[in-house]
Amino acid sequence: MNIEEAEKLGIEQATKESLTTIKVKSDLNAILATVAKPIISKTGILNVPYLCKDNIVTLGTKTTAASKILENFESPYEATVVRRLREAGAVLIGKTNLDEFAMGSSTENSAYGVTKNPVDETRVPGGSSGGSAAAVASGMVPFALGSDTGGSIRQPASFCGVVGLMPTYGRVSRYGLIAMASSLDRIGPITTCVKDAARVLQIIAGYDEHDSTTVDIEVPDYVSVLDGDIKGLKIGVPKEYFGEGVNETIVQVVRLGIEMLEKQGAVVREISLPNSKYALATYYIIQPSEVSANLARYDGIRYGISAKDANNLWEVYDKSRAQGFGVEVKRRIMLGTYTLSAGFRDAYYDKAQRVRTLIKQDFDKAFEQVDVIISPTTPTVAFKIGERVQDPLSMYRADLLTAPASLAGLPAISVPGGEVEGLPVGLQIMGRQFDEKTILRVAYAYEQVR
Amino acid sequence: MKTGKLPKEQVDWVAKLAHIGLTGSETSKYAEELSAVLGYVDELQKVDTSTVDETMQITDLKNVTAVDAIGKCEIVREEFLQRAPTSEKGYIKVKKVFDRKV
Repeated sequence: MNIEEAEKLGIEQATKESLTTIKVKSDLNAILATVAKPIISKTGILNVPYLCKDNIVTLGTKTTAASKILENFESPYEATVVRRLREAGAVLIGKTNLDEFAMGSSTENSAYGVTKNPVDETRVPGGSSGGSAAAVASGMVPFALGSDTGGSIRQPASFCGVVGLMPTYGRVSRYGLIAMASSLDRIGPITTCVKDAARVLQIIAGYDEHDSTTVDIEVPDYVSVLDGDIKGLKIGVPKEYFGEGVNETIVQVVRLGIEMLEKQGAVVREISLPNSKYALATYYIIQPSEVSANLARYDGIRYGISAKDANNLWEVYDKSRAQGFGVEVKRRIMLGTYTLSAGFRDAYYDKAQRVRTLIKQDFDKAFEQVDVIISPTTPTVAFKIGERVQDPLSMYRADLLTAPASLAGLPAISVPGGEVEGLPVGLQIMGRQFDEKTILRVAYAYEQVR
Repeated sequence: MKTGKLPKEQVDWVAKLAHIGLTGSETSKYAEELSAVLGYVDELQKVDTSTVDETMQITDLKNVTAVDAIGKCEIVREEFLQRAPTSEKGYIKVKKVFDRKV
């Protein structure tokens, strides 16, 4: 179901069908909560039902971030994106599963069970927005909100065969997104087609006084640029994204996609982003460091679960966090605590922030010559449930091709690009900062000819 | 200082800093896993970063300030207190901070 189809049904019927599909497909475990009485609006420019990743706060449901530590948490306020969608007529019907606090690439780290990939239920849907991607791919809703820090919208979209858009850092308000890594976190839509991604972005984009990192610049019309015309548009193909560690058949599928765009009149250039090979290591220093600071707030005092068997304040902290956090969250908090600790901060955190500059500079240079950069979204197709969960490092490698745009603050979209042995392959289109318009235009053109 | 590895004693130290109570077997497991990750991220040590500054934020926003005035809070005191595990007389109640030595 895409947005137009839902609009044709009318909001009441579309909502009813959505709730039915959610029930029928409950074995996917994509949904953590449904709204008891959805607030049906009959006006607005986006009058359709939708689902929201459970690390974005909403009213009328719990918000758990898929963590035990927030298992009964109800937010006293709603996120700016949720408010904007509500005001536009969209109807929130539930919350989607994720890796706990959005830490993971498979949705296996959820305290509430793994989500299955609707394409092949023995495989992961990707993560961390795996619930949102599985929900959209299985036709539960026309769109769902996700969040992306190192690939968490694009990678599950790729694994489930749907569209996932990570807007530029600063384009969409993070007010009400449960903070994980604040210099990287972004909210964006997961949809069945490019036009729908443009329509949702149109509503959630723009300056917000509640988020001092949003940038107060014009939000262009994203839908009107989707005309399929890409004549003369320059596409950069970074050789580093097609080499070691990337499945050869995926490489072929994506190269074929680039050829299709060339036939439509785009100009293709091989480029080099030499420091992107350090993106994963850089990411896995910066991200845990910010995690360790942001998750300090879960202390068992103000909200969330609190250890009952503690004798003093310090034990409340130690025991609440030991009982409330899952294995991966603890791993990253400790990793980040270490990389920020006295004596190691320069070697890790400062070093990573400098390499981040080099990664960004590569992109700046490339965008002097090209308008967009295209690569595979993921190095592999969806892997089997349980395959990587015992080996954190192999799980982290799922972010190999998505982490660079995250670190550089760029917008990027993953669009379905074909299949490898029946499993979806995503094509990633990265653009200049705040130039979502162009990546959407290219994604749309690709969608028309694919 | 040596990078790229995290011995067991240091996992205990980090867990203490992070306020996460660990069992003995957890400590060994994390020592192994965190050492593997640190071994991997250690590849950054060979990158020459002498000519660049750190990227602290990515949008070049500068000196974003809020109006220095008391605004209306959309969340009332009771809503905060409801969410606290224990409260009393309008305050959040916590366990004792100091242990009295007799």
